Amino acid sequence: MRGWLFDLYPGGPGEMVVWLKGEDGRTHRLVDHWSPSIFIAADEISELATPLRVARSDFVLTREARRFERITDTAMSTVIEAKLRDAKRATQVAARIEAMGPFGAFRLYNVDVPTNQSYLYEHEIFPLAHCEVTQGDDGLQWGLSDDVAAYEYQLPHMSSLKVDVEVDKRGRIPQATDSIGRIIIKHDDEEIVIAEGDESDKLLGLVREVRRIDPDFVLTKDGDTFLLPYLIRRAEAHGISDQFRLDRDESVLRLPAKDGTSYFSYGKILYKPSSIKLYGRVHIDVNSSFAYGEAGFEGLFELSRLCRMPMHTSSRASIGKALSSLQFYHASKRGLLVPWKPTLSEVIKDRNELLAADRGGLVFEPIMGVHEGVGELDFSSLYPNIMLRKNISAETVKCGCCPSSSNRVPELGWNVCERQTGLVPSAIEIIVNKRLKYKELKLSAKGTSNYKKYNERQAVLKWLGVTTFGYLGFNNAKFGRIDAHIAVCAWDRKILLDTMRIAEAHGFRLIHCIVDSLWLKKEDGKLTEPGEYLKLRSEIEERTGFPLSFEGEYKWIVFLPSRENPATPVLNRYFGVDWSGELKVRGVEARRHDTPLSFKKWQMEIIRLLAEADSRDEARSRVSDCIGVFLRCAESLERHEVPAAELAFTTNLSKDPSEYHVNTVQSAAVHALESEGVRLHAGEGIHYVITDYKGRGSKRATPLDAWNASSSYDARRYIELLARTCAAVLEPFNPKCSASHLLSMHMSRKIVPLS
Amino acid sequence: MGRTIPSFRIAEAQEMAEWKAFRTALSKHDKAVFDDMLGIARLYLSASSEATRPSRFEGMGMAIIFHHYRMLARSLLRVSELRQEGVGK
Repeated sequence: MRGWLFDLYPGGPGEMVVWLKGEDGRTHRLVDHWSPSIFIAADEISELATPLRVARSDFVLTREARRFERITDTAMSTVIEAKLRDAKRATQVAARIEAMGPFGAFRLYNVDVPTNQSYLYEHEIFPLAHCEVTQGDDGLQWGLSDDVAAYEYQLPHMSSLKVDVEVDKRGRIPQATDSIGRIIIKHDDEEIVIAEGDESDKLLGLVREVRRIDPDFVLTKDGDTFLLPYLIRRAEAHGISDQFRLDRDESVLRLPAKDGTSYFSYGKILYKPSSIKLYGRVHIDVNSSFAYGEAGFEGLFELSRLCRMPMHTSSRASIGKALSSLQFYHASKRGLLVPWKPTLSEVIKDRNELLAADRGGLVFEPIMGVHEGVGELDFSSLYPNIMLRKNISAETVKCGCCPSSSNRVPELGWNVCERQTGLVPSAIEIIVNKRLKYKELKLSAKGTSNYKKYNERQAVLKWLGVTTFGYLGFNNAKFGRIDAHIAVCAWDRKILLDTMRIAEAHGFRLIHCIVDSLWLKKEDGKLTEPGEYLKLRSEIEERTGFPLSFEGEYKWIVFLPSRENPATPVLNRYFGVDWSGELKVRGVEARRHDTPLSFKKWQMEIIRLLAEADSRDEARSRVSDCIGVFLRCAESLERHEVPAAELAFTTNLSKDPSEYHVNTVQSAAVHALESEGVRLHAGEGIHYVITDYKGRGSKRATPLDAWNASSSYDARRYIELLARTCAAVLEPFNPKCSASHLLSMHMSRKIVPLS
Repeated sequence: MGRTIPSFRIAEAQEMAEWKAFRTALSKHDKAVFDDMLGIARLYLSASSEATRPSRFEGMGMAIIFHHYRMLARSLLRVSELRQEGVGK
């Protein structure tokens, strides 16, 4: 049978269920008899006799195998490969064996590699791979007629369906005990509304429609956090849960066994809900899918193929998890085991070495204010390219085999392996190459339907590249080591400092530099000659050996000060327009995820007005038009003409709801939601509107979900905030255009000339 | 894993917090001057970070001294230019 691998997951013990989208247009369910292996090692292989005897009922077979135990090993060791009877028990079995000796006596590997991913690695196949499957004596035989490195690949025809539900709310917020109002299904151009009959009829109507349409993808908004759990609970309430089946496997849809998880990432508390899987289909909750949200269907397909992760998993996974899967695949190819509990520690350093080593990439604080004639140069995928070209990986930095290597980490002098390509560079080569190619294809496809496809594919690869660096220093990464992370930063600083010197020698002055991007202009405000930036770029590329792109020359660009301290510059807070009219806006309210929609819209309207100007002086002369925008918007706020949804602030809870004690607008919204029976978790996002800023308790803000006809927003507070938002982008052009001046103009209903 | 040594941005904020008692003893006017002076250090964070000195105050102190010297040198140059233009004769 020929077709495309669509989905796979463990079935009963010793079974792998595979769904194939056949060339005949039908979807086929296949079952392979296969079990994953875990690996067990000890200092002496004979020490494993007891644990293997105790756990023998959990294994189909055990045998000796030769593998690399640690990423730094230069020779294989003898370990025990134990084929599991039931893949779902891998962690319990491993924990039982580990507990039979002191920590480190029994070392376990490949325990937490997801079973379906192990199947993909072992059979050299990947999701949406075109292949031929035959039933052999030992199970399914796979013949691959696709290439994961291909830029152009054929995909099967796949269909999607969107499901939404309107709840007959009894209170202000929908609850699991509320009845279903209507179920709305969208498929192609068809909209099906299920509103007739009682709740059971509606639920079974949904089951019937899903079965009739037989979609490959089911798209929901908040399907993991609300929609599907709500429908499951309604089915339970009516005693029809055994008939509530939406997947292709016809299994009963159940609530996840555990709640979601709150976790800490890059200084923020985030919340990840447990996902609800539809076996044989792919359920995408558009509000909790990073890959789909950032890169659409094409990005999701590319990610699943490249990282060999089933689409349901890659739609929910962090990019780091996807990257881990790619590394696991490369590890399995070179016979390297994946440690269950990594123990690779950093190389010991003395105080001075630590001080010199433990630093990030180069950052040069921006020179604040409005600048003209600034050019921007960006290194292309700098960090992944450093790892690739300098062979940076956990096992290659300070390797034992090449102490006199000529590949040395700048400033620190550490040797880097010259004999063998590291695991990380091996894994990222395909990311760097494919992204570069997709960017080229995207440019050549401008104006065609392929543009979106290539753009989505390169977008997801960009995230993979970014994550590669972070994972070198991430404490949960299986193949990370901080020394490799440090080496990349040291190379970055050298490359950027060299670039600065080259630019200065060409008569340029550095205005701002952050990690892989530089903003330059000619000394003393001189104009650049045509082609001068391109000439500079060529010399930098030649001398550093890293590719660089010239992003364009700005008509003007503004680097903004800190909001807390106007004398202090901040990184990544700027806006400007280049000579092609393209805007670049970073870090201002219009780009922040917590800003109300209307404020984003209005601030962008002002920036666009300014962007029509070709010079700083011309932009300054447009400030009064911009003030007109502010006055118009302030009046519409005052007249309560702005919909609440456009005034909602979005924020993630930084702690558990019970820990909110200080009376802030955010805590008011949290307490209001809790009083309506909503269970919140640290890291979860909430939307709220300020209703009485100077009031007390929960009156201060109303959650958007609880907004009704009697609710009213605090127009005065919103006008104050609007004045600040507008002043943030106008003050650099005219220091007198402060928030207080804008407010006084609103009060007097007239534009006061600003000299 | 992760970083052991804070970035100079964080280290500098910690150092500033440790001078709180000094600041408390200043007059209202001097507090503002003191804040301005410490703020100068933020203009040279990259250079202070590159210096990798064991004491964070060294980087901050050098940044403040350098900035003042730079301003002084510019002022002297301007005075000399004004003299050449005959201003103040």
